[in-house]
Amino acid sequence: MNKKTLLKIKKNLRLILSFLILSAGVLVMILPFLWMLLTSFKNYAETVQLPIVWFPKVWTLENYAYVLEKMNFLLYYKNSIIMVVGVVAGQLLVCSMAGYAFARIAFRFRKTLFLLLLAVMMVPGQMTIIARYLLIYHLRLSDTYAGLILPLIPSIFGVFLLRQFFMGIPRELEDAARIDGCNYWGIYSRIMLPLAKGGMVTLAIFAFNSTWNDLMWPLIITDTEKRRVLAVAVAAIKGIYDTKNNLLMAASVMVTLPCILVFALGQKQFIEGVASTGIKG
Amino acid sequence: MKSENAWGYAFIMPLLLMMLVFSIGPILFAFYMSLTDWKLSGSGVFIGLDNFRELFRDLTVQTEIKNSLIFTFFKVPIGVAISMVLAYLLNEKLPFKGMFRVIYFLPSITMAVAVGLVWRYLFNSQYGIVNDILSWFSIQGPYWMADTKYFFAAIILVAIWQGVGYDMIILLAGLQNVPMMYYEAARVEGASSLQCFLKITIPLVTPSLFFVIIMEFMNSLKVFDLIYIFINNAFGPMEQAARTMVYGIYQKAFVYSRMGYASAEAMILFAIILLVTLFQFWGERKWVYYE
Repeated sequence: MNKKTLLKIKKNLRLILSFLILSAGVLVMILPFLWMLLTSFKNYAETVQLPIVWFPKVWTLENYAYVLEKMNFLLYYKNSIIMVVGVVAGQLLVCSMAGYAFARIAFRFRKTLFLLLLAVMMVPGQMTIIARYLLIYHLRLSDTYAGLILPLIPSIFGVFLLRQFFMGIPRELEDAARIDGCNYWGIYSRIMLPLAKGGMVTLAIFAFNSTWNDLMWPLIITDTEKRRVLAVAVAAIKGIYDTKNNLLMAASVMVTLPCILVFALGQKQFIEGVASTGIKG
Repeated sequence: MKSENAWGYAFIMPLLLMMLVFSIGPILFAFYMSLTDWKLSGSGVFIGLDNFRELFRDLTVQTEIKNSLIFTFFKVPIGVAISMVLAYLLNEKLPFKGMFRVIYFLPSITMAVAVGLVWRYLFNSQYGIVNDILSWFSIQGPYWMADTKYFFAAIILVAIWQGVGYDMIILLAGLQNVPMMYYEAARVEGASSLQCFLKITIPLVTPSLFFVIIMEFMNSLKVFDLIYIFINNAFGPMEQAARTMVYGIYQKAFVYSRMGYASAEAMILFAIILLVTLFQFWGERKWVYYE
């Protein structure tokens, strides 16, 4: 055997080994999801049976129906959706306007203000959550959609992300529009926004994901059922339901599914967004 | 020029106003609140550094600080090491590469509350599959959810499980920027793959690694969701075993209504995060390699 074939065998062995290690890891990653899904179709008896039952004998949808109707999840879905739509729409508008200004308009103190944003981003949100709560409380906005949504709109991460996108768009397009008599608003709304679609989609997915999954803010700002969102509802499952793992897993599947769907739709943009910025929204 | 100013400020005004109200205002107010005995209703009385004096004597707070540090010092190194290995392995031409990437990433887009519920069930000593699978190898698994020693360890394991995919993506992007010619040159010189990994891959990926480590430290010191969902419904002693700083801040402010006192603890957390971050930027030039 010559040296070349030896090297080739060595390389193939390495690839096979990599593949095996990664596959073992994939099992660890996927098993909790599979177990969650399988359990959500079992009846209660099968969840407390020994030895452990892996597959339900009869696949039932009763758990889902129970969680939706008896545990009021339909209402929490509605609240979560309203909250997420509000935050996503708000962030897209507010962050794209600011991102455009920081990228392309030479106003006074632009650099200073940008540094200020950086500094504010460094302060952990948990540090200010008490003061923010008091503010919302005294504005009489606790337990309202406005209270849930408004504080989450000014996302500095969103400004950075979209500024990056706007800076990548060629200036010639803008100059041409200006000669045709377009003002800044016209350029922003008719030229820049359509061209920054990729950035807008990325920000939308980031905002969807972090708002949908957020626990702490809705936990403290809502105190009745009527504005409760899914994350809080799942965390609040107590008493007799807490040991009913078939119900708990059905609830978990229902809160996880929308995120997985949105991720599946924008997978490429999202992963590229993570790779290039590294920060969660 | 004048119109540029007007347009510029018009465009950033919505953001600026909302930030003043919801971020900058609360930051300043939080500093003040930490010096008062603020309760939910009414305003607090200025009490100077009394909150901080009490904090340093408070055994619960000491537990919270200790737990936050333990969580961080296990989660960050183990999580980053696993992510690095995964990213390295995924940086080859493998079948199902795209699928692997998505599956590893899946936990990090899943709601922490749901992750907590599922893993609490998996760790159940009677009906959970963790101990069931361990028993296939004749290992008697511990009472994960009822033994203070294993309870916190289980939460850290889950946090690592949830976080590796995210870091892996960032590190993978870093690896993909390493020019192939470096490896080819090293191969010609007869370097082994281990040598290539240590002498080429690691140094060139240090900027991404540095970024991941900074983010990991910040997020781990701020952990809340997982802790909350695991402690919720667990036996009393488990709360002591797993309570972290943000959990403590939440409880003091919103369960016991001691908002001034909780703000003081938030200041301590901020100081710790600031110190750790500054320390890392100070250490950056010693090990991070920029081309």
